[in-house]
Amino acid sequence: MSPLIRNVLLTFIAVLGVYEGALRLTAPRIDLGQDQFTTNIIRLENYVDHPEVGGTVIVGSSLAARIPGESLGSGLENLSQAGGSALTGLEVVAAVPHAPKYVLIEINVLDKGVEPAIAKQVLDWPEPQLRALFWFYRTAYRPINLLVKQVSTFVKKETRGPRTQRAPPNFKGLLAQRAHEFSKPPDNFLAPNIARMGDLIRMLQAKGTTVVFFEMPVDRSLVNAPHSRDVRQAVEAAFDRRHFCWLTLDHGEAWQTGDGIHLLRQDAASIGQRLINAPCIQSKPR
Amino acid sequence: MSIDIRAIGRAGALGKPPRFVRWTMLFTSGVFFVFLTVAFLVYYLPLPGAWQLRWLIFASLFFYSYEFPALVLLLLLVAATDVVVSRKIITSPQSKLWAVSGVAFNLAVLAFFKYNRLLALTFPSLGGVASEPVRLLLMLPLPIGISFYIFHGISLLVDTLRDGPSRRDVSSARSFGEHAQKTLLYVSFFPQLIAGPIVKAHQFYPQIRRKAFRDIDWDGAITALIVGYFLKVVIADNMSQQTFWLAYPYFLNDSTLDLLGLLLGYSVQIFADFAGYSLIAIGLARLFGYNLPTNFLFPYISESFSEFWTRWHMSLSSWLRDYLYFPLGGNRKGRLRTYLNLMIVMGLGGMWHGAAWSYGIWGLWHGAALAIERMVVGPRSATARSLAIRILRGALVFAVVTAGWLLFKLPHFGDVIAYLRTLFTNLHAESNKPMDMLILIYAIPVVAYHLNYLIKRRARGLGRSYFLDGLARHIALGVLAAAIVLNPGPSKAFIYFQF
Repeated sequence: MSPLIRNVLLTFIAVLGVYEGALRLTAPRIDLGQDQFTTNIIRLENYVDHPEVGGTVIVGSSLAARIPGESLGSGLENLSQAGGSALTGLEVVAAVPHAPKYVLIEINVLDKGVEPAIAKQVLDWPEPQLRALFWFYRTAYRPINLLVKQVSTFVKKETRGPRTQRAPPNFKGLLAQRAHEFSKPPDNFLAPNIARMGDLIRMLQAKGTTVVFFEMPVDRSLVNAPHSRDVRQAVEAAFDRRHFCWLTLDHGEAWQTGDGIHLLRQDAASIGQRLINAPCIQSKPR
Repeated sequence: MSIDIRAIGRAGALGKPPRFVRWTMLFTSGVFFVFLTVAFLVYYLPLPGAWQLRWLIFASLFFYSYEFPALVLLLLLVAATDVVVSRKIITSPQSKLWAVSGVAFNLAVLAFFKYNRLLALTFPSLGGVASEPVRLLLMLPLPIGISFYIFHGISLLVDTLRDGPSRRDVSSARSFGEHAQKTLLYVSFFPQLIAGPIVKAHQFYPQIRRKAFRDIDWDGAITALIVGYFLKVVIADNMSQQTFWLAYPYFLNDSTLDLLGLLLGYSVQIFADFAGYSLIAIGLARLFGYNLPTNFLFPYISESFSEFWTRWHMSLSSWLRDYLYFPLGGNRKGRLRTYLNLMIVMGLGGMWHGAAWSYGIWGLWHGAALAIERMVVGPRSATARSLAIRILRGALVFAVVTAGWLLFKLPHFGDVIAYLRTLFTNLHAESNKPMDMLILIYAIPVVAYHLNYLIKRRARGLGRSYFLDGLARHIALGVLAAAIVLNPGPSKAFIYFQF
């Protein structure tokens, strides 16, 4: 073996060994990644790898992903996927042996299906086994995510809690763009996605889970846009209000969004509070 | 009257960039490592000499056709034409006619599959008169790697026509079968098939011979592979998560600082992605006993635009120089003609990258930079003695090059204008500090990579390695290898796959 290969191998093993040891000693809790894709994966991996968490889970899209974890308290996990839909979270929740007591399903974005790459990374052999064997293999424990955690903790200390978020300067332009997108009906994927959602819900109900539907508030001008209306009607037709629990979060209030559909931080936190106090949920999460 | 600038580049004539076939084994995928292991082990089995070459051809074709077998038919058609025509150039008295026909065929294939959709969108009336099958053909997806293997074919034909080493290599084949096998390997060699480096015929043919396991350049291969995978998996793939926001309409929300950060990030990403791919290709080729040319030589240290193009995608710039710039007359036909040649070569080089007019504008942007530089400082941009001036020059080149990447990232010209306008309107918007910080973090290794080269060049000249030397090099490679495992980004196709 050449000296280069030997030395590279030794260094490689040493770095991984030291890092693994440090993780085992400190066992940090990481629920935020360097970007939304990483955060999506971390949320799902944490749920799969820690059966003790998540008596109640939220599955949804980037709209529900805005609900901050600190507004939900312990025992309530937000598995919403920015850039995706409720389907991916639902697929993962239905696939693991431990079932939550409640699953809250955000219905705003349902024309996107299960993200296979994410489901594969979270569920398929040998990923969970490797995560159990080597902590450094967990997405949450990537060095950059540990750094992001440190920085965000520092920023929160400096600013004494989350600041009030303001609408961006180009809000009107972004809203116009959303209005254009929402003026079209949902595409053909909506029906098969709702059918898949039905399958997953039946699997969860068989395990004793109660399913709760909700729609995230959006800008008033978009509430009855063709896209929102059609998705709402399609889901209500498939899971009617007489047999399923539906939470009504929008009582005609003027919700503030950054682009027409994503609530600003403070309003998203307020939605989090309403979810945990919703009458549908009989026994409150821990 | 207000003009919707975003309509520019969208309506009819300048529509969406073409689709391309993404289906291929990524160098970063698990299935590729299985393929590589099998290909490598069988390659060095003690089989008769000719079987080693045949195995490598088979492995390359398998690699190319893994996800989409029909793709290989076009590759085989092009390779077969190159085999026949290059042989005819040697044996026929009408060698020039054969060469011109062969090059024309290669260019026609490239034009048909790469620019079909652009032409259809630019001249919608063509679709109106064309029959249904023709319209269907016009909407065919872009076969991956086509730009690269077509350039290989043209290089073979031109080198064979010219009285030089390649002609001797082609004519030295003992039989038509041997020539066909060598040419098929040259066109399809899997490490460089999808995105280069572009190897000229006279660089590759002399290397085709029986390879022995004991002759593998392990140090060179391991170094190239680790640095390449680090650049791709750790830097480019992670940076892509940040530069995802460099897209309409997301950037409308960003502050001027964020927008500058995103540009810097994309500049780093595209370097790490393509230089990473090239290094992986070089490392893989070395495992099979072949040397591919260096494709990136620390381009962001360049102090002039002409220097930049001797460091960035070197195999393409040298191909364009040899097969386009020189035949056009280069700089031998006066100053004005030189400027025009630069614009033509860079404009066509830009269009080679993709079938969207914005790539052509990107090429002209660089052509103009080269021509203006030549006008101002002459044919050789003399190295300044003052460090401050050299830094300023380097910063100017980097800024112009980085601004040009906008045309890569935002193929709709209207989006580019919207981006530039937002740069000036969002001066006081709230910055996305976490994003800016992450861009900076992932840019640091690339800056250090370039600085190390500069310091090394300045202190004691360059040895065998552009990287570090001795034990420091071994340890640094070990740390980089660990970083690949510890901090990979989400697996993404290489940016240059679409070209």
